[in-house]
Amino acid sequence: MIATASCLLRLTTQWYSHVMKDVLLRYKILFIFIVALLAPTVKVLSTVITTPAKILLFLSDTNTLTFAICLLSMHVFSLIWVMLHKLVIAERPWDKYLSSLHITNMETMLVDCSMLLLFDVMIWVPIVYVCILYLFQTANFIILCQTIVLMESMILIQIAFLKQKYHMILILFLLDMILISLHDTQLWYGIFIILLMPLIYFLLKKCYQQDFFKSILSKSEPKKRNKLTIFYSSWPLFYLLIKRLMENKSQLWLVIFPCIVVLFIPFVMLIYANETSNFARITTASMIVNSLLISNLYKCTQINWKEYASYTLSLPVSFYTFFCTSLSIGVIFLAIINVIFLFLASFFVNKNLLLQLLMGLFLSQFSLITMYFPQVKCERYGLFLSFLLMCLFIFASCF
Amino acid sequence: MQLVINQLSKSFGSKLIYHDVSFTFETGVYAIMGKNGVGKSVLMEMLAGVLPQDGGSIHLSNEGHNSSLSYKKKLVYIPEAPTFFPGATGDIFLKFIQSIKLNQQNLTGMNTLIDGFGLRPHLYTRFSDMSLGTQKKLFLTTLLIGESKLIIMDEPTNALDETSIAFLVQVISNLSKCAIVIIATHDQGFLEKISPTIIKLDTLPTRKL
Repeated sequence: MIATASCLLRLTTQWYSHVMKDVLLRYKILFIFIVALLAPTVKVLSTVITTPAKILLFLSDTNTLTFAICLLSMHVFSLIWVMLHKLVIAERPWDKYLSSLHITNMETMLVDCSMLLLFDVMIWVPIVYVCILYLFQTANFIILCQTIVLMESMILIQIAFLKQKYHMILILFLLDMILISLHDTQLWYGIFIILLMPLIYFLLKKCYQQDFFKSILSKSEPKKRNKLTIFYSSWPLFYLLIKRLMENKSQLWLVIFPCIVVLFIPFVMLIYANETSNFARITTASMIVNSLLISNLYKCTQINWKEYASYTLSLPVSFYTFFCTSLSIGVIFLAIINVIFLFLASFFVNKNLLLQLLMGLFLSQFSLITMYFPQVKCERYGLFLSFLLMCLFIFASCF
Repeated sequence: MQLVINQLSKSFGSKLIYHDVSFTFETGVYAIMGKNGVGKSVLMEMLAGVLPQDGGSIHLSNEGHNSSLSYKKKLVYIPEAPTFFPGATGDIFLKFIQSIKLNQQNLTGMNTLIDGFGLRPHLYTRFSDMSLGTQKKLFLTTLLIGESKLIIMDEPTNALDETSIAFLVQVISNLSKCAIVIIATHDQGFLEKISPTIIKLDTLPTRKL
């Protein structure tokens, strides 16, 4: 088993390096540039990297909400990270041939987990680093269990996504909720963590087993389609529109860079001016301004779709499908930017302020949704109408 | 199954292309023929719902008019110049068409066309990196995705090799038994093989079918 797994692992690593080499090289320069920018603030950089790990391992004083944000952010980031690598990990051209060979589930699981640990280095290294640092100081066995559980859960969410066992992702988020609720109870938390280690391993193994009932049902009549299935089935449209947006990098950066700058202002206020009295209002207003900036993506997706109208107009793509897909793109972009900001802010603010920021996030998402029709239907007045909506939301939230 | 064109009109500025044209297509193969610039592609685009007509209606029995979703669900349109998102691979394109036609179960027909046109090696190639012939074949693969009742093809044999044309002839012969197939083409050799009902477009100022 080890021989087969190690051979597969070697071949998969070679494949990964071959495919990702150019991409990684391109981003290496950007990474060096960002590190150079942040070099004068090494303390901030190291705080940002190690603080989440300390919070997750209960090595710093923290409240339940911060712990919840850290835990959920880690899982969401793991999911996003594996989505970026999906083509390389799960859609290799020879996968079908491999499935015809006698390779056991255990061997496949071993290879996949090893590959994912390799890809996820930047996620688990800070956690393991903090664990090792404090394990000998505090001699706390639970820290080791927590580290194992965090790494297992990260792998589980990624494997569940790759194997399309989405119910496992829901189970994991349910387990997260239980962990968060037990945050303040040391004993029960410790017991639950010890139970989680074999449980998550069991769930991982389940991801590699064929669903017995599904294999029977697949021989029966095709499932009736309901509205939810129709919605999920529009992922190729979502993929096409996102890909087209990504191909036009300058257009995308013109939208995203100002969002980062806008959110940088309250962040600088907090770190360097220690200003917290108006922080929530200014941050909420910044998030709503970002919703106006991101709403320009609606127009971009509309233009990109119409570019191929000589064919796409002949396709049965309903208004509802396109509307939902375009809306989700805008909502996801805004959510990612705001959640990253919220995550960083959670290290510096108290629970009450964090709750206010969360409300601001939901308000900004809602304002983004209201801007869809002005941007798409109102031609040259779209931006102006969206600006008015933005002012209305800022006024309502801040006064 | 009938495709009814009723009092169709279309003009571009002062140039009248179609005026008060009425015709009914039944199940089978039709070839639209005429000189360059006479309006074949305009007619194909109107039938595909890509170009709106100025007047009149185009109606597929039990499915509605040419701008309705139910009409487009039964329609397969193969344009003269295939155009799609340049970054999309062949695989993504086919998955997209399957998703919007809500046909993710019966892939036998599609797989037959993929193998018949020799498209397997190109499924993971980006659209912009494919040759014109490969792009055309990719579009032709959508013929058997979903329940196709109306097939509109504008110069389908352009850039295709002889083997693919021979395979296409077989596919059209099978489809014509249960669908309305309308082809605009100059390819006489191809026409001889499919034996369609020929429709010649008249000269200016009006087109009569």
